[in-house]
Amino acid sequence: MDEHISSRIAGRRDGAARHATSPRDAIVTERLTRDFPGVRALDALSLSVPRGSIFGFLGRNGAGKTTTIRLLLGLLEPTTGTARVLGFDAVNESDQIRRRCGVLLEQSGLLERLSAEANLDLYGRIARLPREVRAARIEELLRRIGLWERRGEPVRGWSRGMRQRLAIARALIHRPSLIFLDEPTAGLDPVSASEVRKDLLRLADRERVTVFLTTHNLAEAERLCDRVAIIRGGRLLAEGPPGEIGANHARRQVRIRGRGLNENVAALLADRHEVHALEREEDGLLITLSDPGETANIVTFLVRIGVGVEEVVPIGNTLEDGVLSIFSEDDAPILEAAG
Amino acid sequence: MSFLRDLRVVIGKEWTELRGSDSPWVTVSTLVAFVAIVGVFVPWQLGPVWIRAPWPILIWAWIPLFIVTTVTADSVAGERERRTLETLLATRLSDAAILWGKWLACVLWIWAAMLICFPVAILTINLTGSGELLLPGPGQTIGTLAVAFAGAGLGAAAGVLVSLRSESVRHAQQVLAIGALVFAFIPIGMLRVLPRDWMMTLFQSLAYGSPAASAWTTAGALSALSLPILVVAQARFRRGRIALK
Repeated sequence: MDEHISSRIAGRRDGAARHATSPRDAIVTERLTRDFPGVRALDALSLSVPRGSIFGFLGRNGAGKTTTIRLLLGLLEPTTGTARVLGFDAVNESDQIRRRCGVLLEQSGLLERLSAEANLDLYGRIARLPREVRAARIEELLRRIGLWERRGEPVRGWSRGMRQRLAIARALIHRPSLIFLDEPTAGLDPVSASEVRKDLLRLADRERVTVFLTTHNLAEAERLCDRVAIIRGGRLLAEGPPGEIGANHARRQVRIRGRGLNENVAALLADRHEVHALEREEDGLLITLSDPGETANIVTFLVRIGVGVEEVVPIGNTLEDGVLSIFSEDDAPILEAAG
Repeated sequence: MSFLRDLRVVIGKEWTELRGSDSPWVTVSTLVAFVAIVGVFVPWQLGPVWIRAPWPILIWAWIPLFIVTTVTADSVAGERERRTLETLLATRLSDAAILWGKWLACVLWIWAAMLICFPVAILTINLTGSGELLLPGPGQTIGTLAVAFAGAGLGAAAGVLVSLRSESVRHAQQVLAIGALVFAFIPIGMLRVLPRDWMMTLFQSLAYGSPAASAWTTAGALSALSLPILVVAQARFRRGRIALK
């Protein structure tokens, strides 16, 4: 992982832990449900997002991520259930919510005929920032994302990565308490996606803003987020810190290398209750455990039958592993796992 | 005050987009072509009738009504098509500020062009005339400009309503162009069903009536038609409904 990002994450996770104890969450939903004709897009979603955290909302296309953002911003009304954002009711006080939030929806929403500076200036005016404050803020944000020199260019000719970075800056123009980012790196090449992530962390860290981030990119969520929620078909499947989800839900695997790991040994192992699945590799075995705590029993057994165990490498406790496991338990198609 | 401030922001945004859609050269040459047709060619062809008779007032109603529909379709359906409308809806701006801001921006854009055409038309008539100085009175001047505003207002109101329901800019523009033609031909069709003495009275008032009175009557009628359309558009302009489109 990028060193810069690692150190930022460490800082943010400390911050999130601090905020998690606060009674005031940025977002609280209770059994939030939204039906469309013939389909339930969101099904009794209950979650809370601590202030100051980067919260990842994970799911495939059509899982209900964008619907959730629209409900939280008051762009849609729930069928049942409630949502409070920054202490305001998402139905009756949605104007107060929109006043205090920044957004980057599925599309950047930038006015392509206008320059970068004009785009930020427009949203600064909508937010009623005085002219001098607006000008200073635009320069600050554009310099921070390295686009100050290109401020006068129409956005129309820009790459998708540059536009996404500008749209994140636009979301922050009025120093919101909370920003919603709907798949900010979707469709970007790896280099652009990395730049967007760096900008996002740098800006979020400096602005002390809560980030509600939807993505179907698990590696990204693990790198960026303090907490994540996993949603499928409008239902919440799991919620917690990414590492915890990986540790709790992943089907733990161990790779064992050594002398004497032949077919007979593999057959004996396959019969044991600790082993869920087994795969022979060139110089060892890849064992999927029934329970993450069974590694010691396996190793003891192998030593007892005369195998010269040289290396035991536990694998499979990442967020990606956890999510894959959750989805396989839920008998559903898996998420996109590419980083 | 806060609503007016938001209105100003939306109008400013729309105008910036309209100005930014082409190079300055294209914008200026389009305006010059428009003024050449409406401010020079038409008055030059009509001559003193343009000032003395009441019926040319219909030109001042129909041209802005027709032209503004194109601009409005781009402002509403185009913004949705370009996927920038939802971001605007996610701001603190009220539904009313967005709707009325867009409507007013389109109306004022076209009305400004008509304002330029008016003195140019008077100049054209006097330069191509017999030498007699022809000037409209204050009532006729303000009435004519009110007709242009009301015509643009009606076209923009219909434009907003149709664009809210249309899937694309192209679809909205097609519907609006047909609507504008129907609107233009309705009076011609109605003439056939009018009793003969009514028709004569109408022709006489269009030919020999007071231009000022005709202008104010036309402006009032167009405004009365706009009002219910705007009320319906306001009722249909709901964040939730637009976000789902």
